[in-house]
Amino acid sequence: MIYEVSHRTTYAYAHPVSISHHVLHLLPRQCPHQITGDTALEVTPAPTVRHEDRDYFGNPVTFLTIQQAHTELTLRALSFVDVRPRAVPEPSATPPWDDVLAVLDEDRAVETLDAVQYRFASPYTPIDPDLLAYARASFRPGRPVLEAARDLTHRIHRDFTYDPTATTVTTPVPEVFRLRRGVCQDFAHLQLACLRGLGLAARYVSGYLLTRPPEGKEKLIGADASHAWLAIWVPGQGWVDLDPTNDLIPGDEHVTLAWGRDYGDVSPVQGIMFGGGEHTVTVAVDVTQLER
Amino acid sequence: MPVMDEAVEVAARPTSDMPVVPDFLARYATRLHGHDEMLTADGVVRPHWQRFAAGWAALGPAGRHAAAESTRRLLRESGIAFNVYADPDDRAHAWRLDLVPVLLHEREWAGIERGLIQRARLVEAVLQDLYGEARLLRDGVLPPALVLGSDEFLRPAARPPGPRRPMLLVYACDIARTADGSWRVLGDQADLAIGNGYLLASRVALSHGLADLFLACHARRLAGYYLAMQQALQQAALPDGRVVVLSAGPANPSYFSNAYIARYLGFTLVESGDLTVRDNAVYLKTLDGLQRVSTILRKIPGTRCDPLLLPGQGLLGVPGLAQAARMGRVRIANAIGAGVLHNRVLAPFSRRLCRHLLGEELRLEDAPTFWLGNAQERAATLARLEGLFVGRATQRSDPGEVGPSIPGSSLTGDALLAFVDRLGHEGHLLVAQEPVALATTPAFDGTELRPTPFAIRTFLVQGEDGWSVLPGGLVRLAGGPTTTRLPNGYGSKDLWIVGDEPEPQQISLMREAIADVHLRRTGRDLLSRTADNLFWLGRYAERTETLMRLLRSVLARLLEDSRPEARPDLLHRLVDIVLRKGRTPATEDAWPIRTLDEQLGALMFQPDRPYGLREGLDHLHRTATLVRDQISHDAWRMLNALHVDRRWRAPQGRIVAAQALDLLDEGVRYLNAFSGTEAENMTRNYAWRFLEMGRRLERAARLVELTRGLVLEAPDPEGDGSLRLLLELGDSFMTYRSRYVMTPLLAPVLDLLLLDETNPRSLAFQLAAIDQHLAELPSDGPHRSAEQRLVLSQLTALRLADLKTLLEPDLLGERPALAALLDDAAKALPELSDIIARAHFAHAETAVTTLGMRRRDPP
Repeated sequence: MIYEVSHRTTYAYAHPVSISHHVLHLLPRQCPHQITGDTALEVTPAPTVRHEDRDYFGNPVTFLTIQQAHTELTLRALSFVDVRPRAVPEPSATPPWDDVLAVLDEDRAVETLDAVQYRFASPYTPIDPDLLAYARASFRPGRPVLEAARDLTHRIHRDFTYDPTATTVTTPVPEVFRLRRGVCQDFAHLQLACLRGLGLAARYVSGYLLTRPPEGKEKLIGADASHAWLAIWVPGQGWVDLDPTNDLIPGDEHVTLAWGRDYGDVSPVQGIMFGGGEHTVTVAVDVTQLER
Repeated sequence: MPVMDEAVEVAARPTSDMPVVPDFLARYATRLHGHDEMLTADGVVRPHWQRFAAGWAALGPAGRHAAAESTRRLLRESGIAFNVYADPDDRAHAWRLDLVPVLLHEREWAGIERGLIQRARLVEAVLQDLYGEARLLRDGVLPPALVLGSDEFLRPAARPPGPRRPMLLVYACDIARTADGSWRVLGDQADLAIGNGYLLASRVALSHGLADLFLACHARRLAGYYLAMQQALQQAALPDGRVVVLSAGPANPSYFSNAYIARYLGFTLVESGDLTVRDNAVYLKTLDGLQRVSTILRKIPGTRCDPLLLPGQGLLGVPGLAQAARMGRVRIANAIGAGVLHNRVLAPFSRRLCRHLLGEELRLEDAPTFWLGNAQERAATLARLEGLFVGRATQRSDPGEVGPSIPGSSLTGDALLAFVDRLGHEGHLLVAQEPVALATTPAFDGTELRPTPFAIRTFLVQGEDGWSVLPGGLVRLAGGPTTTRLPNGYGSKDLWIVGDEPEPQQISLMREAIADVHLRRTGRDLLSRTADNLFWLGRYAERTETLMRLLRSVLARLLEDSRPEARPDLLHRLVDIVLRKGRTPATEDAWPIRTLDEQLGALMFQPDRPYGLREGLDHLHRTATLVRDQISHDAWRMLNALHVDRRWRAPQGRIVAAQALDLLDEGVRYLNAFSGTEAENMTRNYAWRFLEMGRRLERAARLVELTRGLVLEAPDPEGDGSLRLLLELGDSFMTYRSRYVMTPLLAPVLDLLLLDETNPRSLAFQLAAIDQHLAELPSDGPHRSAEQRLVLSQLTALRLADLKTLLEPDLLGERPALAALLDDAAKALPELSDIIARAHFAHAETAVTTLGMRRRDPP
């Protein structure tokens, strides 16, 4: 499935910003099931410093410094990606989750070591006893790891209400758990905190989702937005994505942008600016299907 | 000075017929129960202590008292403290230095040195691996969770495999001698090496206090090490770049130490807000624009260096710094990320790592430490919690700032359950430690020597030729017989590495190098923040001096009421000029003031009296602390002497009027001396101009205030003594007498105090001086700035003023023209202060906001 992804972010400031520094995760990464074609990132006003690199997790990352005074900043990312269908392991055939812990403890293969760093609490995914108790209902001893994780994804979808007004980007996960409300980012962090509390390896995935237009209606431009889900590490199978917001295992309708321990590692637009005062942000994302 | 050395040595040389245990040590010997630095198990003075012991005995009680006093005075004058703002009598924040150093012979020290250098090489090698290929994790030498689960493993520091610069430039290692005489490592200070400044200040004080003994013992000097440190930092610098010391600011407990070392090495002390990243390079914000920084000796944790690349740490640090370092545009010492090995991380694995990475046996063993990241160690720890201490492996343990460590014996009941739970999900961050039984060394309690347990922080620097070890250390006394880390809260000692022969001279090298650094300081690179602080230092110094003069004048008249102007109503009015500024209903409730005595007491001694003397002195000390590296040492000593003199903090009523008068006299003298050294010894650079402008502006404002109170509000200024008081407060009485030889009259007094530009105390003189300073500051163009226009308009009003018109009374007997002139000045002066601040200190402001995009889901 080939998609054209356009992601436009505009910051409007009340007062001029004299200098700003940004770290952007706006260009999709390569992964086994995803081939990234042409990409372009336009920045207005023109940055004085622009540096493309890869971060520790292998994601493309752009560093910007804008040194001219400005009251508006526009970032427009355009990319073409080919998302292939991926084989999803049969959940009931995956190893027991308690055995996975032993593999993570002892195995020193490069892939396993890479997974180990996703086992621990991170700034957005603190370990919390209430969350752990919630998770344990899905993780009975000996249960196949993916089956249990898939069950947890389902329960989060069932028990939590999608509500863009209930939380902000700084709402801590235990608070989301108490509210039983949030958005995709909150649900991803919530399930990550559950899995890591158990000692499993799970990572945060930032990306996009093609929205199905309602029957008989044109797809609205700009209606789509960035999305977030997670992936769990299954020995022998690698990483398997899970989307608690939509209660499914992502297939070829999820476009992957970047992954890391949590939102803080891969936030699409991060920045520090001097001056500016109050600001408003407008985000428009279009994910258009070009061909199957 | 070989001749003098010889003389001193003869005086202190032990004689062969000296008893093995001198009398004064007999009691000491009975208190020993393990290795002691000075005495052997048989109670014999160790050979390398004999010169000291003889010299100490020769000093006698009087000599020891004098040495202690002299050391204490030097320490107090240096301003050493954990909280530089604290009252110097505050024991919690004071720095306590024991008079007796620890002596180690250079032969033994050479072995320790080899161990320390090996340790530094090991830390460096492990860091290189972890931020490069990470083979240690793959090969199973280090457990992955120890590193990958650490919140100090900073991923932006990772590099592709290949040659790279060292990550460490400085390294400190805490070591302790155990009761059985062997040495153990207590902690690796890999991220930050804190305490060098404390050590240096202590050495300066003690080597003066015990100067003869210091020479007699052939103690090694520290200068060579600091020269190596200076060179290492300069070698790392670009030709046009500067070296700065990045500190967390005066509120941080190690500020004194960091400021002291920056000053000693001749590098600029900065805070995060003084730095900015442009074009991927780091610059210092100065009055004269941006100046390139090429090397940063950081004194803030790596996790707090850059809010952009290390999210979740708030807005601390310099945005873009990590990227600038990554691009090789700035060298940070130590490199961001070194904290992953801070303190106790390596301890459980050091022996194995040393063999694996260096192919050597570990020379300095670690104090027993167990990593709680694996199930076996966790179980073993829980089984014998009683004798262990647990805490985070990377916990800071710097003087004055020590993180928590939990005694296992306190973990019972619910606390134990919570701990077991914590072990489950963050055991990989924790270590358990067995306390080390410590050897003792003599400490002097003022009367006699007592064996006291201790540990040492040692310091190393890595230059182009490898590592150098400081021939000394920061000794910290312990409160009990055992410890798990560098002790805190029981005082410090100096460490003397002594030899059999005097050390060859090497000090001159140091002088040249330091002088070289200072020569480059032209003053054009004044930090905007520092300019701001200097301006306020000038204001507070003048404000305090004016208040002291006022209080002195009133007290003198009270004590000697035969003078005509000793009229209570006049004195009341004068005191009220200051008192009313801080008067609110709340303050009046708290301090009901009726009599003149009470008014004076309030202004002089009440701790939080607005515009009172205590407040003034506090502000003065605070701002002086902030600009200490800009004013001369003598100027600092004047101001610090005021701060450390506890009579200023006497409870109200404890001091009688005559004593208060003496005290005020002394205070005015100190402040005069401060302005004198400022006038005579400060280079005419921007720093001086801002200090001066602050002083001039404050003097002008206070003069306007006093003239309004004493002339406009007086029913009969010529008859009631107001004018004489005004002349005295304006320090112009003698000038007046020399000119007029008559009782003060309104016209000549106001001419002298307001209009006469040749009188350095007049209003016109202050404005003319400010005008001149402003003209010398960097400007954007040929036009007069807003602040220059404001000063000029005030100055012109004075120059055009006609005395006759000014003094013309109206029908009610008031003088509207004079009132208008003074009112206008009273309004303009604060405004001038604000405009100067906006124009010159504005770019020191840090208005920073993070952008975090809110995620939305598909509808």
